[in-house]
Amino acid sequence: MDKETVYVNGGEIYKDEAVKTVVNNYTYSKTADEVFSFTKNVSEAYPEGKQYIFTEEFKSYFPNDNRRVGIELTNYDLCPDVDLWIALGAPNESESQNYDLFFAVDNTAQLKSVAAYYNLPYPITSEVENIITNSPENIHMWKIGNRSIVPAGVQYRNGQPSILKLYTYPTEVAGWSTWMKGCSYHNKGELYESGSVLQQLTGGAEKEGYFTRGSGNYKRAESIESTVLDFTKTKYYFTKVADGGDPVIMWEAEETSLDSNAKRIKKYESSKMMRQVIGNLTSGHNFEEYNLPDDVSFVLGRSYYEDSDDTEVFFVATDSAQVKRIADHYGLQVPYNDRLKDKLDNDPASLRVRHYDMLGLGEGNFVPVVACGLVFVDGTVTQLKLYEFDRGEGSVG
Amino acid sequence: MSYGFEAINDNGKVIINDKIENLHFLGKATRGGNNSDYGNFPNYSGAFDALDGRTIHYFTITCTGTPIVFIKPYPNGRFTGVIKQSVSGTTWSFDVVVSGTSTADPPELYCFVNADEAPTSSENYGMQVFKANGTTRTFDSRRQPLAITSGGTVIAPSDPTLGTGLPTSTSGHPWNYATNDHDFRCQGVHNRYSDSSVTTTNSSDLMFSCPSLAQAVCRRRMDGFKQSQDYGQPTQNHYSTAQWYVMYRAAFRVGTRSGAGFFDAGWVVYAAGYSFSSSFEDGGWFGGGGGSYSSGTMPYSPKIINLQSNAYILADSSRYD
Repeated sequence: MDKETVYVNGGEIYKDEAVKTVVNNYTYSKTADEVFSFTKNVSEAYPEGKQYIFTEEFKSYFPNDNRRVGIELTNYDLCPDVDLWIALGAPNESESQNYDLFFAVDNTAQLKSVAAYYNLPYPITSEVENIITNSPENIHMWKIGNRSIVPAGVQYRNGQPSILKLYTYPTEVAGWSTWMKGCSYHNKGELYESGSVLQQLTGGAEKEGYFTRGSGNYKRAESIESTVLDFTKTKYYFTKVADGGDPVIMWEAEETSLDSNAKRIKKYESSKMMRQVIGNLTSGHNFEEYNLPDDVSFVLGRSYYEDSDDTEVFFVATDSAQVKRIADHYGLQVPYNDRLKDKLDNDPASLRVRHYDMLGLGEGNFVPVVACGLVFVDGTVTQLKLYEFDRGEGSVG
Repeated sequence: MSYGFEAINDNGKVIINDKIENLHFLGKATRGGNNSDYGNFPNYSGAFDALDGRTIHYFTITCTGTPIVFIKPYPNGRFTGVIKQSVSGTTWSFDVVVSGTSTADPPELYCFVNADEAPTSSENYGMQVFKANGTTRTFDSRRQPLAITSGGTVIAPSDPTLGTGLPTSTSGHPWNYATNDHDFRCQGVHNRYSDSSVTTTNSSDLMFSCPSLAQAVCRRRMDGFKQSQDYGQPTQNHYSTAQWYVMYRAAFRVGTRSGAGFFDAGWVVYAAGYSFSSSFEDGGWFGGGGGSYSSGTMPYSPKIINLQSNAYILADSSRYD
C-alpha cells in the first residue's frame, strides 16, 4: 500500500510508514472536516489528542465540506511567504503551547523562506526538491483544481517553533494512490493475476478515459489494472446497465496480450442467487449448465468472452476443506498455500470481495465473501483460483 | 321551438328534439389480442411482492363518427375501464383494462354514435327526428337508440393502495436493503355508490360508460447507507436505493355475482416496476463498482392526477344483442 514519508532537518526521515500503519495513530471522526476525517490519538506530546482544524481559506476549496466552519489563524505567528495556510493541529483552537501550523508548499524557495522565518532547519534534500518542482502530483495529499497540495508543518513545543516538516505521500504508481490490491492464485498458492485499484484526485474535474467517483474536490479518477503472469495486461472498465451491463458486477475487462498486443473483451455476469442477495432481484441464471459439484453451494457469477466458450465461474469459498474437495473433484491442485489457507479458515475478511448480507440477517450481520473461480476451457475445468483483495489491514468495507 | 317534435321525461328533461343528437348503436367492437401482466412486481422477490395484475384487451371498430363506448363486463366482480381511445383513419381503437391476470371472460364493448353514423336499417316503420336543416337526423327509432337505465357521479379513493397511507420515501436503511413494506395491491380499494337500478336479475346485462381519467403513481423508496473506513483514504460511503412503483388507472364495476344495488369506483394496476441501485466508492474486480437496475421506467413522479367525480351511465346491453 502507499505510504507517508515525512522529512525534517535537511532530509532526515522523520516518519516513513505505510499508510495502513500510519493510521493506527488516528481515529476516524464523524465531526472532523472531510478533508481529513481523523483525530490523532493520545500521545506523549498530545495527552488530550490532536484535532486538525482547517482554515476558512483552505476549506473554501472544498465547498461541499460543511461539517465545520473554517478558522482564521489570527492568534498565531504566520510567515508572510505562505500563500495558503491549511490547518491548525492542536487539542483545541485556543492552544498556544503545543501545536502544528500546516501550510501548502508552493515551491522550494518559499519553503526555504519559511525555514528562515521560524529559524528552523530546511527539511529536504535536492532529490525531494526536484519532485516538488517537477512532479508534485506524485507526492501530494490533496488536489485543488490543477494544483497539487504538498503540505508542510511548523511544529511548536512549549510555545516555540521546534521543527519544520515536509509531508509527502509517494505512491507505488506515480500520481495514483492504491485503493485496493487484488490477486488470484492457483496451484498451491502460485500467483496468477495481480493488480490494483488506483485512484487519483482530479481536483473536481473529469478525467478523460477514466471513470470518476465522488464529487466536488473529492472527485477521483479510477484505474483498475492487472497482469496475468507475464502475458496479459488487463484494464477494467465500469459498465452501465443501460448500456447492457450487469446489474451487480458492473465491469468489463479489456485484456491485451503482451506478446501480440491483441485485445479481447471479458464480460461479467452475476448469478441469480447473487442478485437475490444483493437487491432481491429475480433476474439472471445460476449456471446449472456447468454441472458444478455440490460443494459449490453459492455461485457468484461468471466471466466470459463473446468470441469463445472460455468461462470462469466464480463461487463462494467457505473454507479450505470445501475448496480442497472441489479441487479433488476436478483433479486440480488447491489454489492456496499455507498463508492463504490460514486466511481462508481464520480471517476470511482479509481475502474478501466484500461483506454482503448473505444470511439475510441485516445490518451488523454481513459476512465476508471470499471468491474462488473455476476456469472452463472447451468445457473442461482447467484451473481453480482463489482471489485475495487487500484494502489495508483492518479495513471494513 | 315553434314546431316539430320534443319528448320530455318525468323530470322535465328533454330526451329527444331537433337539437339533441341521440346516440345510436354502432355495433360491438372487435376484440383483438390482450396483454396480461403485473401479478407481482417484475424482477423482485420478497415481501409485498404481490400486485393484483391486470389484463388489457384491445378492441377496434370502424366508424366515420366519434363513438361513445359502453363496457359490458363479464359479471365476475373485476374492475374494468377504457384507458385509451384513438383513431387512425376510420378505425377506432380502444384499450380496455380489466383487473387480474386472467385473460378469460373478457368484457364486451358496445359502441354508439349519432344517428347518421349508425348502420342503416331496412325497417320501413319508425320515427325520425331531424335538425332544422331537414337532413341531419337527431333520432331514428330504427337504428337502436341508446336507452339509459341510470347514472350518477363517482370518484375513486384518494389512496389506491391497500397498505396504510400512501407509500413513502425513507432513509436510514442498511446498505442494500431491498425489502418492500407497503402493500400496493388495490383489489378491494374502492368507493361504493348505491344504484337501485342494478338488480340481481339485470346486473349481468348492464353495461356502463365511465371514463378512466384518474391516474396515480405510487412509490415506496428506501435509501440505504453504510459507511466504512479504509486506511489513508477518505471514508467509504456505500449507498443503495430500492424503489417499487405502481401506476394505477381508475376502473369500475357494476354489481357482482354476489350482490347488486351498487356501482363501484376503484383502481386497477396499469404498470409497475422495481429498481435497485447500489454503489460504493472503492472499485475492483468483479466485486467492485456498483450501479443501478430498473425493471421499468416510472412514467412520472409520484402523484395522483385527474381524481375528480366522473359521470357514469348505465344501460341494458340486452337491447342491442
